[in-house]
Amino acid sequence: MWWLQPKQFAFYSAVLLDLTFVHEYLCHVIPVNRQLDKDIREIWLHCGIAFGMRNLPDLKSERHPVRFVWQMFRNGYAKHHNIDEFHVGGPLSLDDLARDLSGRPLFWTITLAVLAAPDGQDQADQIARLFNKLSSFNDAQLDGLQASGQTTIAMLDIVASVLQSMR
Amino acid sequence: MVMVNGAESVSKYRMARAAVDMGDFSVAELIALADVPEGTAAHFISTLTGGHLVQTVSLPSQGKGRPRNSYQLVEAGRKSLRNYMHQVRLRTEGDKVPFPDASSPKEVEIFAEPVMALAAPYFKGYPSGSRYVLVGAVPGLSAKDVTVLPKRHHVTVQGSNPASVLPSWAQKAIGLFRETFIRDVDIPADFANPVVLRQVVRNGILTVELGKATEAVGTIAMAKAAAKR
Repeated sequence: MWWLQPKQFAFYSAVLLDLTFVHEYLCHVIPVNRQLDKDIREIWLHCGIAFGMRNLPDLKSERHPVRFVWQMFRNGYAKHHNIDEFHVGGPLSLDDLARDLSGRPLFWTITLAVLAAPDGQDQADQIARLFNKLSSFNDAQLDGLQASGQTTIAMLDIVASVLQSMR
Repeated sequence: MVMVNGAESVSKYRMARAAVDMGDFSVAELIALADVPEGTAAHFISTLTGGHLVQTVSLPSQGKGRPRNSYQLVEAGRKSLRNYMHQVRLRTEGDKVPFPDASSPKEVEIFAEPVMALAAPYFKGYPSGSRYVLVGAVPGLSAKDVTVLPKRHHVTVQGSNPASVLPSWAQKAIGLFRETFIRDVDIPADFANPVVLRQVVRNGILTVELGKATEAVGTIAMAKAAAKR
């Protein structure tokens, strides 16, 4: 549901209105599963947008202000909603994972699997556990996962087997 | 238990986050994003410059003022700041698993935190028989100042510091933690959707006993049976 919030951070979202809608659409409208964890929506799925922002064919002089205004919006939003300073941007481990993987085929594979995951709390929990495990993977383990070529959220089992094989 | 300095740590953490998020930034952008005074931002940048963690690039002059600089985080700088952020988060969230590549003491050294007052309550959880117990230091708070909200995979602990009735300079002097805090403490999967069985604050230590969701069903069933009798 949308409503006007006459707060300072709303100004920044108005400046980047198209980006705000892209975020809302990709992170909150498209995913079939309505119970997806907030961090998965706000960090993982948003990372796809951030990847696009970083790699826009525009001049750097055009990209830089967009990034700055987006950060101002995010900080203002967090402050308004009393989000703990150390939690702005969500868990660093998931953030790092998303940043490191974004752009790699595995990122899009996982993203598509998340977007298409059927609705239901069980599926959402399974995805949350998957990301929890993925966050502890090192590069070799992620490469192993990519090599497996799996495309569904049954990847949780694959994650377990990759972990097993790395021991 | 390792604790981090309060206000200074928050400012430094904000600046580190802003620098990492932006990749390259000016002093003015750092001030706006981290909400810090100019001197604090300048000191942070000089630390980065001294550690060869940023490259300084002169921006084209705009008008009559001094030429501005942009600071581009190099890879070592990004790693160093990310590691610093991880270290701070690990200190404030002892229940978190360290990120695999996060421990590189040498890189973190530049941004090492002094061991001082508690910036945010630290909670530790452990199983105890059929219960799961959370323990955390909440100095100055009583049980009525703390709310425990069980969620599916974590428990949210909220508290308000009664010291907030003091003027702000006094709060700063106390420096224990901010007016309010919210902490999410992860709980094991077999305690999903727990019930809060007991919550006490004694000598500044909050102890929360959690039971399994099935325990609540059993308790409700027993209560219904007792009511029928």
